[in-house]
Amino acid sequence: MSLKPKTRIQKIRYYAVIRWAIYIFLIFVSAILMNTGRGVKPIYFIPLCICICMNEGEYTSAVLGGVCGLIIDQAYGKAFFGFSSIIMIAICVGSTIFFRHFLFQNGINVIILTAVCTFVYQLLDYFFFYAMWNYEGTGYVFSDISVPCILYTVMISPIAHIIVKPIVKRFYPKKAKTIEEAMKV
Amino acid sequence: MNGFFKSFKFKIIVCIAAFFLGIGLYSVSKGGETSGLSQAIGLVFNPIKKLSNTISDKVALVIDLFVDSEVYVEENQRLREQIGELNRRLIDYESLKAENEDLRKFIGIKEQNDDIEVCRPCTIISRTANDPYGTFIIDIGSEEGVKLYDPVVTSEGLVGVITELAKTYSTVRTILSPDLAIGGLCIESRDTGIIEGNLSYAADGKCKMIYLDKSNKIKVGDLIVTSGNSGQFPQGYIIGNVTETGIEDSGLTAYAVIEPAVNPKKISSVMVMTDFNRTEEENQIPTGNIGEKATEATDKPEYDSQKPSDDDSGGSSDDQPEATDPTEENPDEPTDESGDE
Repeated sequence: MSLKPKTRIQKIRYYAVIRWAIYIFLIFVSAILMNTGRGVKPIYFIPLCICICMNEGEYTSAVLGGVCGLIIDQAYGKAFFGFSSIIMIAICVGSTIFFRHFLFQNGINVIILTAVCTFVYQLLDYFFFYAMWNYEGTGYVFSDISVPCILYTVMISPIAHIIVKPIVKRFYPKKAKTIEEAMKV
Repeated sequence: MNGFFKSFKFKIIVCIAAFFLGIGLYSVSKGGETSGLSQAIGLVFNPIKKLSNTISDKVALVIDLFVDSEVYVEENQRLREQIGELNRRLIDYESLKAENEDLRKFIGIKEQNDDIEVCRPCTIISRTANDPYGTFIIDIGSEEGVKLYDPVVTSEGLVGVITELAKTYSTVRTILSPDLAIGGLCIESRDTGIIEGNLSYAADGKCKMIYLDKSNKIKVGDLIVTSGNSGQFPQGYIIGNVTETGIEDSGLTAYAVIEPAVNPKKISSVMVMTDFNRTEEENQIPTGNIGEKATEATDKPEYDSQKPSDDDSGGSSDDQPEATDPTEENPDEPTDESGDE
């Protein structure tokens, strides 16, 4: 029995399964990296989710953001398990809409969007988990943890784009030409 | 874009977000018990985390040996000098110990920490990402008799307490965290205070002993142990040494900076103290606070409005100078009818 798709519908499903298997593997690797070693670590999920969600629908992005948020909370040991999910849903759905309507799908835009999203995430995290409780010396958290975390996350965003781009190119069914392709023609 | 916010799609996405918000609220309402979803994620990732951290630690050790070799040579030299000094102290200690034994027998005091029960040595599965206090997860849970707020120790000293409990793993909040407050006692001067984490000192792996009387006699190098006043920690367990002393900005109390005997950020295995000599009343953990905070908070003056406490019986600011007396003014200090200390 051959597993090779014959009809177009079969082909779309076949590619979707492969694409999401690779995405899940990347999410799994990111989760392991977030839990490995000591010191400040980037939030691998933000650039990865942005890159994945550029080509997916709103519902898929929302679910992906929610699940990735839970994994982030598990890695961070947050008492409010679900805090990151809400932010990640906003990030993922936002990136889907932005890339569909306003932005070109290129590395620069991924970096900019990652920088903005990570900054907002870290700002909310800093406010809700440190500043709001009036801990002494909260400035240390922002300068020594939040800022390096933002920088590291921005630094890895091109890598995420480089990894996800060929997956999309190879396993995303083309319905019509993208704006970039149309402009090149 | 405006159309999106009015669309059915947006409403569905809001519902998904509300679902995750519900998960968050549910986990908060569990009060320290790890939620099922978190446990499920932990179940999948913990074995892999353990493996990846083992590899990462070994790689880091090799790199560390090359990078910090000069530091190790200096540390070795310093430790040799310290061993010489300690050996000299040991001679004094032996004679004092013999004398102490005689006195103990004479007054019939039971040897302390006799009935401490510790679990098997636990491995640190992982450390919470980007946490300034070195919070970590260990591979032991409620299945092996560990309870919420059990002290976590090593043979060198106190590390922290269990703040989240799952069946097969637990989260340990370290003594560097400001959420944890431990009654501390200076062995040499008998001054007492509260040991709390502080973000400024957590970076260097240190914590702060606060609410000390201004006339305290604590000096650099003094040994700080648990006072055991509230019964959440055994009495006389080593916390660390004093590295700095000073007066608080308010000018009302003094503080001491403590270098813990165990740096929670550098350990790889710990033990959980599942039981020690404490009464039933002492076993009652106050809600809303961790460890000794609620009970010790009664020592705090009222001007400390930044640290809310569930204990409404807190003393007034007039109590402050007396609060450092280890034997008199702590309302939660075990008395004849409740204590074993």
